[in-house]
Amino acid sequence: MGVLTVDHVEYLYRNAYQTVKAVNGVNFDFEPGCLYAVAGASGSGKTTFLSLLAGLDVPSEGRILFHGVSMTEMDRDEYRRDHVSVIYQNYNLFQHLTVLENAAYPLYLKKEPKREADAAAREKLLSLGLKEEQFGRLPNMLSGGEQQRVAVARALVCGSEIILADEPTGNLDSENTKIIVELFQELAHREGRCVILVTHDPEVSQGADVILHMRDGKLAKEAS
Amino acid sequence: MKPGRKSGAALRRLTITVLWRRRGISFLLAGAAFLGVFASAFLHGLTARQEAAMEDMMEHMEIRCVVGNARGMDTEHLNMPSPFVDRLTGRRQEENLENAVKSIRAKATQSLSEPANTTLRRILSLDSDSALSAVEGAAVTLWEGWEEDVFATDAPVCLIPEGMAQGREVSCVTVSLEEGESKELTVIGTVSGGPSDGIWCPFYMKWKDDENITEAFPVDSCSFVISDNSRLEECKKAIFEVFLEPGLSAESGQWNYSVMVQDEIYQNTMEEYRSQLSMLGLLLPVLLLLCGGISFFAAYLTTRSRIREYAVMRCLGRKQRQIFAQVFGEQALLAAVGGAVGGMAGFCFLPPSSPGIVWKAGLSLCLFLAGAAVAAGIVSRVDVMKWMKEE
Repeated sequence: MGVLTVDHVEYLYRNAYQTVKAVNGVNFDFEPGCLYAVAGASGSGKTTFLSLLAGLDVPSEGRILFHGVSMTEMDRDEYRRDHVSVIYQNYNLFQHLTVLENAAYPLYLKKEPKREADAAAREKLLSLGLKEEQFGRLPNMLSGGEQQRVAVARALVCGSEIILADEPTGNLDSENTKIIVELFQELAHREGRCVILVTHDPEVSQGADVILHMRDGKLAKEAS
Repeated sequence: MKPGRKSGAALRRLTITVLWRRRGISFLLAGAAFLGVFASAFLHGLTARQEAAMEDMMEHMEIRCVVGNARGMDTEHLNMPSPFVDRLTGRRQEENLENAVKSIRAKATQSLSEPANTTLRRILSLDSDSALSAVEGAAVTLWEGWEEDVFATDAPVCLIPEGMAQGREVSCVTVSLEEGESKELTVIGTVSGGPSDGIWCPFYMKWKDDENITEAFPVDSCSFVISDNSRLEECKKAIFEVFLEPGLSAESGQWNYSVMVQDEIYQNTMEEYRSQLSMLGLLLPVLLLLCGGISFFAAYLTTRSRIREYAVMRCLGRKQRQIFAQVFGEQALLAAVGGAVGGMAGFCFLPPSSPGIVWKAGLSLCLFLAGAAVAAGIVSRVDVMKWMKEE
């Protein structure tokens, strides 16, 4: 059994006029130490699927197991805080926190002492190529690539075993895209984390160990 | 804190830091709380002031009532039987107005045969006779050991004109009515600058010492003050019953007098106070609701504008109740700061005179916090899936 097991998962979006099955009977085992790319057209259900893996909601049907425990039976807030990190295309940084505070935020949530949290965040930011003088700046004073690296630092700082990334290179140029993809490969292969990327960029998909295609809510593994 | 020990201090400090970095919005929210509390304190102070002024007026303003003849044209030659005055002063037990009136002034004049060409003027107080007032230029000198109060008794004393004394120490004077009754009065002082033909004695001075009650005599003028303005209508009714209804003598039915109650200024001012107070009474709840509404929307809109931020926090593992506590805590802190400044400003502007200010200001803050609680409740239940899908 993998770190995340998706078992006959369905997810319905309902409103007053219609019901849409965004995820339709998905089964899959995600293993640690592997980089996955979920590709597919817009509206195919990639982001919804990623959100379910992140524990933002529970499936309408089926279950998602983390180390064999169903998400419906666990505290999903704790799961998100301690075991999974999510990176978004638009970075989702806190605009009123500095670069360092943004990166250290997950450790503050874990009630780590500020000094230790800041030290860990500083180390991660430096390893991602950000400069010390940028740490006191607010996110809107950084370029898109730098902001994405802050978002990555925030995701990595607490050592979560699952990294989920939704179009992480969507706003980046090709050089920065390459750097980010290499970083994810390193996280998967060297640190043994389970990295799942949602992308429609073939260049990014090619860097993954496993490519999954999502169409009309159904997931299919690309033949290797 | 020991190194390595876990605590939420970093997050709390960060919350304060963010409030400072978003100081424009923070000032706006604190300003809303300030406005509510200051306005409550201000209006409360204003109300308290008006109430105090009203009470002061009710307590101290003199509403004088002047008795006139039936047509109200003459107030100086009433020819009114003295038992009417007895009712005012409480000398007669039946139907007396002792509790309704005070500061009674009454004057009666009787011609004397001795001393020749003089009149005896009975007065209840020195104010009873306008000829004795300072305005008329008269000066009363009471000799040592005598007080003005003696005129409210039936003591056989009198004041004589200075000219009658002619510089001599006069200790007593004998007065005789034209009908022949005589009485020796002790002189207790002189009057200078006033009429030279008058001898002033207490209103109830008796001609015969063995009389139980002074015999009736005609009264020239009479006036009095309402004793308790808060019972004005009740007092007026009692007074009118005495003066406008016939029935004091054998010739009952003839005695009709008018009483001019000089309460126009009092009534107008009281009416003005009452209308101001009722306006303030209406204004306060309206203002509280307005401030509460402003606070609610300020709290809600500023919080709503950060909804993505809260969605990200939820994504990072922050619990719903923690988001609620953070948002509500931020607003409560701003409300406390704004409220404290507003309260102090309110107290400085108009010192409150009753503890009612506390609940009014508290109510204003509660409205603010209710808005904050609703806003916090809404954002803490943010649909994270939806917000994370929206780029």
